[in-house]
Amino acid sequence: MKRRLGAWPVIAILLASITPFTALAAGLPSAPPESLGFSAERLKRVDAMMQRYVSQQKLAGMTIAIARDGKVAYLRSAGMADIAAKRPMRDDTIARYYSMTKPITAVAALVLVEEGKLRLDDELAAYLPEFKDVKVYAGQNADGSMKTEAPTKPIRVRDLFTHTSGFTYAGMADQTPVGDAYEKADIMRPDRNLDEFSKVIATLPLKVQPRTDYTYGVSTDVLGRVVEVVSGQAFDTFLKARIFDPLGMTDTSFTVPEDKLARFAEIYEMVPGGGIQPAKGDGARTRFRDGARLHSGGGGLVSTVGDYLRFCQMLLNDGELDGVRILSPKTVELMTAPQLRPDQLAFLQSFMPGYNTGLGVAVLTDLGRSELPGSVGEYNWAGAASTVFFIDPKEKVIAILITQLFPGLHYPVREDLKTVVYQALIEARNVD
Amino acid sequence: MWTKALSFLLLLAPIQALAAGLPAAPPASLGFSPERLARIDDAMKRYVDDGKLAGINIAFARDGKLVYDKSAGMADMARGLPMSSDTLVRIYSMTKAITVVAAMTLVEEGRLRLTDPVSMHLPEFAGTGVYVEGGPDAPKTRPPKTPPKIFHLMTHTSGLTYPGGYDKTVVGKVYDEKNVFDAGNTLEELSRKTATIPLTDEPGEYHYGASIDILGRVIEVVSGKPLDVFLRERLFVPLKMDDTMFTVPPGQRGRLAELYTKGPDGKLVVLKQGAGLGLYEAGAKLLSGGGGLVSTTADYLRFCQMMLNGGELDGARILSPKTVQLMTRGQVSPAHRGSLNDFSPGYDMGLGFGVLEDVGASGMPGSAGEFRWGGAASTEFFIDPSEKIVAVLSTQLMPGSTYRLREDMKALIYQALVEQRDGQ
Repeated sequence: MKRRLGAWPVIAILLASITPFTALAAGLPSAPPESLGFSAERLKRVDAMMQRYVSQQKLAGMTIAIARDGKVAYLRSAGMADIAAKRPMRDDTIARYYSMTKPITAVAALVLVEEGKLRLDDELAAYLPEFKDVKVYAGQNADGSMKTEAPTKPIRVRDLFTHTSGFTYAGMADQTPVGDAYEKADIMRPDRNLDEFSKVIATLPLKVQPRTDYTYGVSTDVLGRVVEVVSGQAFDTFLKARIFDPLGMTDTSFTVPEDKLARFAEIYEMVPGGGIQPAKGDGARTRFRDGARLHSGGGGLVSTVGDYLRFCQMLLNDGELDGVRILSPKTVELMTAPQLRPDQLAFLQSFMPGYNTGLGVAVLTDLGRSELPGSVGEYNWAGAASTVFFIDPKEKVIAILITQLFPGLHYPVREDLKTVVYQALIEARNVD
Repeated sequence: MWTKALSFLLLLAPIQALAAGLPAAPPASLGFSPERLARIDDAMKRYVDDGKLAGINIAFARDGKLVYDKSAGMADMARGLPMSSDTLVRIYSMTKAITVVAAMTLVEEGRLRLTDPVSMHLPEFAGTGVYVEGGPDAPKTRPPKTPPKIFHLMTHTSGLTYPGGYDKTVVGKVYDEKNVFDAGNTLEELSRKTATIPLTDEPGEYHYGASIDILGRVIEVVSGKPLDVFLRERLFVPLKMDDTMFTVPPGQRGRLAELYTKGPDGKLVVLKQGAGLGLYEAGAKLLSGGGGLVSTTADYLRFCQMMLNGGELDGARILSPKTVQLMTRGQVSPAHRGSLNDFSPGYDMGLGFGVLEDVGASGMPGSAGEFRWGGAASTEFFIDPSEKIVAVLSTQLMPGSTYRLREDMKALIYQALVEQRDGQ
């Protein structure tokens, strides 16, 4: 009897490490991994990967969720959400999803397309007149000022989804004078609302001519403003009414309310030479606090793994979850279909070989060239705080990796997530 | 005369099916015409009777069951050792697929990434430049636009090449001068020497060469184990490939086939030196992941069947199906294939395997998605996932380009396949 009692703590730890987390936090029901075609043995490598990232102080904490057929096969967290406050990373930790906001904004806009209120081929200026006279960067004058020219083609709504509008971001690797101008205009100032934001952007030249090359930028933020104008609702109100409430995404919002701050993760940055520290400056904090006005459709949402799993499952289910229909299957098909010609994809393929862009997500078109396991038709996106998700419609798999570290492309989290998920998937459906 | 008579007798008696690594089933039950299979017997017999090959074995399976395993001629004519699917043969470059699979097990464990720069694991490659001009003594280089990465090694697009016997350029000469492939080198020495030699091209361009040997060294560094130990633990023991090894122990020497070449008079002569023969001798230090293994048809069939099964055989899981899928998808666009399509028209490169992309262009029957490789001593294998066929040809004739054995093998096997599944 005594001996049994003595063994209990060990058994408890053992159980704790193998018991799936409660279905409540997961957003979707869970099921034994083997019943979903995953090797429980090989899923231990996901634990090991998270442990490596955390114990080597590359990341403060991380959460990984893997679902198949609408059921969670794996959901674990490791490390800390806030080291100083001694708050562990948890499955229900609220984190900055940054560019993983983009697919949500794309879905919101497609809701309006389905209602016939917005067309992909409409000119942007038809909704946002401030873009009627937008100029395009055309080199520099002798005094260093920018030469500009008129667009050869108008920006269309479609271009906001596919990053072919010509907009850019401040601080891109291939920074041009246009990027500098974005920086100077402090375009992401949280005290501007979307209307003001859009009007500032319209005064800045486009980096390239519309409909030429894929240029990553503020397109999706401008699309958020389009949603406001077409719907007549504030963007946050529209998202809540049309996506978050119907899907039960209760922790997804632009600002973190007071009563949820204890679940909000700290944001970290790399320390040169090794280790991490809380990110300097408060840009990554104030913009998610009450009082921030900019509802950034390109990067403004905080969310939880459970919420985002539900969003992904809606897409994987061709637009519907638990009886709530957000989009029609044909709209999801269009959203996840390759949109651009190969000659437009140089920038995208410089960091995602084998991919094209859909509407708000990148779509795998060439498995071999991607150098990652997966399926043609898989779609994904990532966030600036090193988060990433992917949806594989052939294998019916969703995977999400959440952490909070700048800069986003430092660690190959997308490669690591795809590798670790697919090595554990031993009953594949699409290998031919 | 005596050997010829014996080889004739052997042809009449098919080799035991038990030997070839997989359970056997009647050919007709697997969609093969027994009558047409007899043409393979005839073709092998012709090769031997014409004095082109000392001996040859062909074995293949469908749906995991052995359809055919027959041999003709001798593994060693002088000793009167008949050829069989159990004969130890030098598989040379058929080693490469095994090494890449071994490396992929580390990728699956998260200990190695396909996109890691090679220099992350082998720092000696940090400064390796691309050849610009100059002679072998003082070649000028420039930094590569992208550093060679692990997937470049697996697709032969790292910019590494082979010595002068294969690559007649200045860079190939430097490989000769530095004795890169000397059997007395350890893998570490091979890697350090190779890193001092300029890349022959930008990473991304196909050049057959030392890539998989360097990958073998990466395996050693990442796993902390010698390559032979790692391969044994990860592949040969779980897959029961007991006859696959780098050097042949004295007790097994009697099973090793002799290596032949076509002499000046067109007759077969025994190759006693060169051709990397030293690699297989006791005392050889170099564990060449690009060409150092000895194996048997039977063992190699099991390796192939593991790949066809999506990474698993008889309950031993080596890789996940999605990893196998990635390995067997083309990764090198036509503009970057260099000489690949000269000797393998219609093929793209996967990770460690050539992948058939265009059946018509290949000029051989087969299925798109088939993956394969061959060895310098005229050995061949292919795996056809559409038809669920794995096939291995063993012989020992240098060089592999002497006869068109690959073409013959595919023609013979597919003509006998009368119930096909991939009709597109």
